[in-house]
Amino acid sequence: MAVKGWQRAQDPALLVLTSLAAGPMHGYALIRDVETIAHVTLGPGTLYGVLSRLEEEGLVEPLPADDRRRPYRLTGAGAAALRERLLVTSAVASIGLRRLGPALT
Amino acid sequence: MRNFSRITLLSLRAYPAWWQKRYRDEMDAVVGGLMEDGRSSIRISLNLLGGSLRARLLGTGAPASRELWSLRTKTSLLVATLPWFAVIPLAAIFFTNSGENGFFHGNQIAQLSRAGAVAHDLATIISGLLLVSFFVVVFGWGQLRHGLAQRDQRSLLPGASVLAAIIGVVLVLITLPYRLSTATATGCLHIIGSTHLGNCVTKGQGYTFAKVIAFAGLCLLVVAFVLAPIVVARAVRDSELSDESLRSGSRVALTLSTLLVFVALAIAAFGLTASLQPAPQRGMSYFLEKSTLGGWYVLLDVAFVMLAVVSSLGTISARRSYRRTVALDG
Repeated sequence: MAVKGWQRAQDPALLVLTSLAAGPMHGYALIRDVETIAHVTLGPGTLYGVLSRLEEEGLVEPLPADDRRRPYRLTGAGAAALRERLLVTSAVASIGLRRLGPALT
Repeated sequence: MRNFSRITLLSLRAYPAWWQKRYRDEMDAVVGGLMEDGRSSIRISLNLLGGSLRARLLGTGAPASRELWSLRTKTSLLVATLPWFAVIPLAAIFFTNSGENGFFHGNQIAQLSRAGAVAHDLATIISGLLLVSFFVVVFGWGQLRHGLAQRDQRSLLPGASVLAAIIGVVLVLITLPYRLSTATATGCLHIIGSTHLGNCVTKGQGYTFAKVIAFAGLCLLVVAFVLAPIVVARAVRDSELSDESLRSGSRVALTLSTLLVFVALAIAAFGLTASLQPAPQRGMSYFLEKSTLGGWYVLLDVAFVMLAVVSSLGTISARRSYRRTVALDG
């Protein structure tokens, strides 16, 4: 299904954290995974901007490089921050869907 | 090194040195993978350019080294304040083309329209803002002077810059009492239908001795203005500035970039209101009624906007870098 415009999830940091929740990934794999789960193509400049910020905040950490590809993984703090953010998003989503319910029927 | 297009390579090289050291290898691998997928290299390069600008501006991911962040603060302060040197010649172009003797006004014969009156007020505001910016620069330089390193005695640049400025000003000043225009009453009658030399738009043909001296003075001032930012940049970068100097510098940068934003907005508004003035009538002063820049105002304002944007970005970076430098001291 083609997803356009505002329907795409736009926050790159949230997308990267969600992607890393599946396990360690290197940059190229992250871009492909985010495309699959959110239909958003992160450019390399955007991706590494986000990774550097998340690394600085201690939410992700780099692993030893395999050839030139360096995998990243979620830290404990990163997993907690992601869980908190997803719970808020989920609460907003369920309220929105509940309010839309009568209108749809 | 993979076989990237020239623009992609340039975009990757646009990242700061610390970034290249930390991320370049893995970014090469990612960009290589995307290229093999057949993604647009232009799109990738534009994204990389945006990323490099963010990295330079915010320094996110930069190592926690006081030396690095102090250098970032100094460089950002230069980026924020040096555009002021380019504002001076642009302001000169603006004022020499925005009315008689650099003033946009009317008289009993040539009444200004409402738009012209607004343009007149804007010209006053612009001169006020530029004057304030001059004092801010002088104050900022005064604050910074004590923290600068001893001048390198072998370098001729600082002395040459000051000497060129002094001789330039003297040459221009000594020619002021002499008439620089060679316009004649006959020539003016032919062009504007009036023999009044003060109203004659022609600058006159040929050169007088005073004119040549004045041009030589102006050339020396241009040389001084080209050298001055280089001298300032070298002095600031070579000095170990105290936190107090950096704090003062970032405040000056904030004030200066705010002033430049207001100047750019005021000049845009001036260009718009001046263009709404009716066309000048034959036999009356062109300068009294219409700016001579016409459509060139767009280019002039674009230049001012660019300087204001560069200065604002430098200020954002300087303030962030200063806070980080101080945090690293603790």
